[in-house]
Amino acid sequence: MLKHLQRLDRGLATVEKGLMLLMVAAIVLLPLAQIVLRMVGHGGFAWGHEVVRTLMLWIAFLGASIATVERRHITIDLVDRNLSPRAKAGFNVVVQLVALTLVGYLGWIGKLYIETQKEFGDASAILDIPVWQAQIIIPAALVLIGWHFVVLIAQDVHGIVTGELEYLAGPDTEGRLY
Amino acid sequence: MEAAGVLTMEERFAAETRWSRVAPSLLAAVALGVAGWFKFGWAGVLPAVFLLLALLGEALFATLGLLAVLGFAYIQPFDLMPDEWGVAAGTQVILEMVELTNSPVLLAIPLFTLAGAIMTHGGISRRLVRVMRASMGWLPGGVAIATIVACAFFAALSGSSAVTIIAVGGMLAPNLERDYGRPFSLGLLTSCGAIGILAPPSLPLIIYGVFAEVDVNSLFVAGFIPGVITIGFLAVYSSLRGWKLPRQAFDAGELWAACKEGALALALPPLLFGVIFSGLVTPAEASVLAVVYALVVEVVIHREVTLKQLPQVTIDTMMLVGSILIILLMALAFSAFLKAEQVPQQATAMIQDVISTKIGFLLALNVLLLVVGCVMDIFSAIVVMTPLVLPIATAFGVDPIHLGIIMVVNLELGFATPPFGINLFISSAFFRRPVAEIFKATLPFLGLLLVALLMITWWESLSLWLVGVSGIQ
Repeated sequence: MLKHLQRLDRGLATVEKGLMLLMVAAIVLLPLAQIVLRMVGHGGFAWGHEVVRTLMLWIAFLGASIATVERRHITIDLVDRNLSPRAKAGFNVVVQLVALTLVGYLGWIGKLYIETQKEFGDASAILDIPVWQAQIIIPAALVLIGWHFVVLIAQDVHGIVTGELEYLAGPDTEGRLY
Repeated sequence: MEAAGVLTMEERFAAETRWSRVAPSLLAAVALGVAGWFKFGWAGVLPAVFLLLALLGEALFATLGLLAVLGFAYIQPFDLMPDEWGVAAGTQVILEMVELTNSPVLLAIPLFTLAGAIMTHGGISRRLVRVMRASMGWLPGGVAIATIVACAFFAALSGSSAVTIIAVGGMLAPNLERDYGRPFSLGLLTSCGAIGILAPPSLPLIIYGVFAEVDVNSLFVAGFIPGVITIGFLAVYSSLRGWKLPRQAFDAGELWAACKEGALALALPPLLFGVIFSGLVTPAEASVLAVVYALVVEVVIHREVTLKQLPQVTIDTMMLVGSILIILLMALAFSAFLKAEQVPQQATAMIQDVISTKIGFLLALNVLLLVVGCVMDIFSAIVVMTPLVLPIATAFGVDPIHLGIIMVVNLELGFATPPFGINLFISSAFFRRPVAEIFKATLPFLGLLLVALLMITWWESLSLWLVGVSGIQ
């Protein structure tokens, strides 16, 4: 059961990563094109700035979502050194349930917000799309983060029961920076 | 976060939970909550909620988000609108998220981080060390000085003192230890990561800029002299310690070869500094140029980062960025609540009752930030502390730019401060020495950096003079 859940989760994470990579490429190439165009005397494109800003929001939220999958959210791990791995997994279950509740609640509020925007909100000043289409990532990412937390909780509960807790040491970060 | 790759399962956790050590802090948090409730009502419980969740290992964004929601829910009863489901509290948080898209500084964060990650992913630490040794090895204390400057560059690029200890420290430790003995080597490498964090493209100042609504370019310019001073302090000390050691002869040929190999990588922080200092580009544009530069140097010229590795480097970076930005969002929402409740004003009044002078306030701030830096990583610390400290500091007449420099230097110092400073544990794990030995070895360096910090704190023109001269504000 857990295996299937995790496979599904990894698949989802792969899609998120792919999407994010495309967007990162865009926020490098677009401003670069702007600078080059400016240099050759062309005015550049007015919508560039707004696209980059929107992509930034999407990248940030996708990054936060992927950080959840990989247990990379920033925590203050003062007491870890005095915990057994099993106790740590237990603490994890508690704090992840709290986090799940929070992102679930905020995701729901975000959905309400988007619905209001859809009805009454403005269209973007420069880009010809309604603002809510750019902002839809907010509830979407919150729901994604919540889903990832569900999988983490399942993994921790499984770990407490079976004692398979090696994953708590963190991923193999050999040759990786952060 | 950064410790994950270094520490093994046994180093991270205990074999058996030591409840006698865990329980007191948890109980203290609960007691704080009860005390807060008696004194201030439900709002007084919030600090304890923060403390308890943080101790349990809650993701910081969730802790701050929860505080924001609880806070807004608490002040809701005074509103006129009936709010059955608590929608209003969450909406405040969502509005902060939407607001974030309008911050121009924000665009600089992911790309500056990416540029640094690409540079540090290649063989830059080796090139860096070679150039520094060739250019400074002939000085008295040459190896140590080369270490300090190499660490400063690396910390600026990676934005992380822990990564610096591992990447640069690993390479120079054998040499330092042979010449200066183990205590000096361990102490220098543990405290070295704390310098260089003021230079572009280092992240902490950018994040401070977002929170304090201060021009990031001015911050980088302001950090220049304080950065040079901290480096200078350590360099002079090392030079005195290494005075009697045999010196390496200056070799122009080796310097030329080293520079040919490493100059391009070394040039990024000075180039960025120059571009920013000239005032020609925004931080966002500078960050795009930095990524392009890093790509050209590492992928095309040095060929040390392959195209195949780029996606993973990018994903790692954006994970870090995402986890910082979501904390930023929640912290912004929480500070909006604090402002609505006029907490900063009340805190200012309370502190002004006890402390009357600017210097007295700054000194108290130094101590507080040292403790905070000791228990939190720098990004979280800036995000949590800035909204609280800035209004008080402004009331005491402290310049926001000066405050930013103090905060970053001060927090970095906290990382090497016993008993909890994270760098001490990274060092202990990485060099395989007991933590107590690292404590002792780091003390003289910590003392020096503390003197530098006090200078930076008291002498505000060290930070502000260059900003005035450059006229970029």
